[in-house]
Amino acid sequence: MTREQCRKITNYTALSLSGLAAAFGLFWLVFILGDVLVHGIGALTPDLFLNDAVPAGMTGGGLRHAFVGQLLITFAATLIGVPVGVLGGTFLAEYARGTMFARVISVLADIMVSVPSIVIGAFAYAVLVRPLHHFSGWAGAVALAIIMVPVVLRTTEDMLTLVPWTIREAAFALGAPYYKVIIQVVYRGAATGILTGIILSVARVAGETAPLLFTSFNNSFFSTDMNGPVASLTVSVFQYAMGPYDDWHRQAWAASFVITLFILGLTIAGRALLKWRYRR
Amino acid sequence: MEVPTVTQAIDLEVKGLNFYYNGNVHALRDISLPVQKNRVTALIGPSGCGKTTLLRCFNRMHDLYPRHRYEGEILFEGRNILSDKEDLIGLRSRIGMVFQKPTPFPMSIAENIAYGLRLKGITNRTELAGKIEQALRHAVLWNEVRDKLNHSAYDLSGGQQQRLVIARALAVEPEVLLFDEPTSALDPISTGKIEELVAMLKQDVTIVIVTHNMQQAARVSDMTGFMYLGELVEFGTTEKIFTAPDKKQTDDYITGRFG
Repeated sequence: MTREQCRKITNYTALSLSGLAAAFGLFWLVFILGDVLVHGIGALTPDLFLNDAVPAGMTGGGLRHAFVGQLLITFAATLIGVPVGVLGGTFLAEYARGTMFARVISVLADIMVSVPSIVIGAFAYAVLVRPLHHFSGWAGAVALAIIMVPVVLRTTEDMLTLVPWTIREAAFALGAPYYKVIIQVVYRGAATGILTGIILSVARVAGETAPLLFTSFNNSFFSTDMNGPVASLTVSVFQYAMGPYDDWHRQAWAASFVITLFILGLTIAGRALLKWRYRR
Repeated sequence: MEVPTVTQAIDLEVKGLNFYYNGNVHALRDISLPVQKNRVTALIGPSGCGKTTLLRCFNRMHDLYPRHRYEGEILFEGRNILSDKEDLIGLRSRIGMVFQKPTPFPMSIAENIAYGLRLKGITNRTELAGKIEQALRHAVLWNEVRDKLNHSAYDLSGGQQQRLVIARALAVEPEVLLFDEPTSALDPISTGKIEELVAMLKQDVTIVIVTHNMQQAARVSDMTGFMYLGELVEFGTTEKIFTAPDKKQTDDYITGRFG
């Protein structure tokens, strides 16, 4: 066999193997999304959004309490996680730039992104549920916020680092103090990037179940009291899917579909924003 | 070193300046020179000779980075601006700087100018609008941008961006403007416009310009300093430096034998 033939065969083998691997991954992705789509669309009814849960075993009712609870917890998590993440990222990129300390924190944040979310749920349980002897929406929000912080922090740091240093020098040369340089010039340059990071981090936590299981728990009743257990879509899906009733299964499919759509929408919005930013 | 007789008032006076960065890299060696009021002073010399380092001493830009040390004095209105007590924010609003690459801020053309004005405490809308127009006219950019003041500054060409940055620096009404190779990133036509502008601006401000381009120094400056390896080899009127320099090194550099 000549050298050229040998190379062609290697090339063909590598191409086929990587193609197969991609097809394998895509197959399951399409399968899962398709399944959610098929079962979910059929199960969507206005009742799902307008009614609360009915007693177990009875047909009808909806997940209004879970939709509201989910939005409440996610919103509270965003309020806690985003300021911490953005300010932390600002500290690393501006005040601690180039120091050993900043590098260590960046690496730790990267590690935290891949910590299993149930570990963070257990942490919130130990810190906010056990000492207070009851589940609460706040504990769930804090658990989700802890997951958001490293994502927002790293995006903020990266986006601020992308703003050319000469722009800062130019602002200093006009007689601007550092905080005004950061707030009025650097944030302006990095705004879309940071916003994208925030949107993607919201998308990341909106589908989390594990951190909520031990913290906000679940609630069959409509409740906006963040000091007590609050229902969430993800935990409801978990509970309903494991339950014995057909109507629960139907609602779990519908809820899965809505969450998937919501996260897909957020992710697309985030990516579109990023693309728009770099086109300019 | 012999400094020519000065008839013009002196704005900034450098006296025995030594500068070290990264702890102990000796970048400027015993520099003394007068910067005359309402004149253009050019600093020339090969790369790494310290001309930009000297320029950045005038507005204490080095203070943004750790491990630097100044020795000697730079007198501005009789006060040593290298003193630890110097108010850098106040100093930088009186000694402006224009950089090698245009540095527009990520905002609209008008907001770019307004930024410096707001730092000075001007917030009244009518007053801002008036000052923005005045600054843009001063930098001969008004006619090109008057209809698109709300457009992003990044929509402008490189030469226009550089003039916008000059307008932004002028808006805060500095006494001195420092130019760090302001045309090295520009095409010849934009370069010509910036040079005309520099020549015109000296009526209102004192200018120090660092340039790689000897023809440019000859065209725009009144006084020229030739620097080499961190020392000021020769300083005098531009005419003298370019026609009859005292030092052989200067002659070699301006005639292109080295550098």
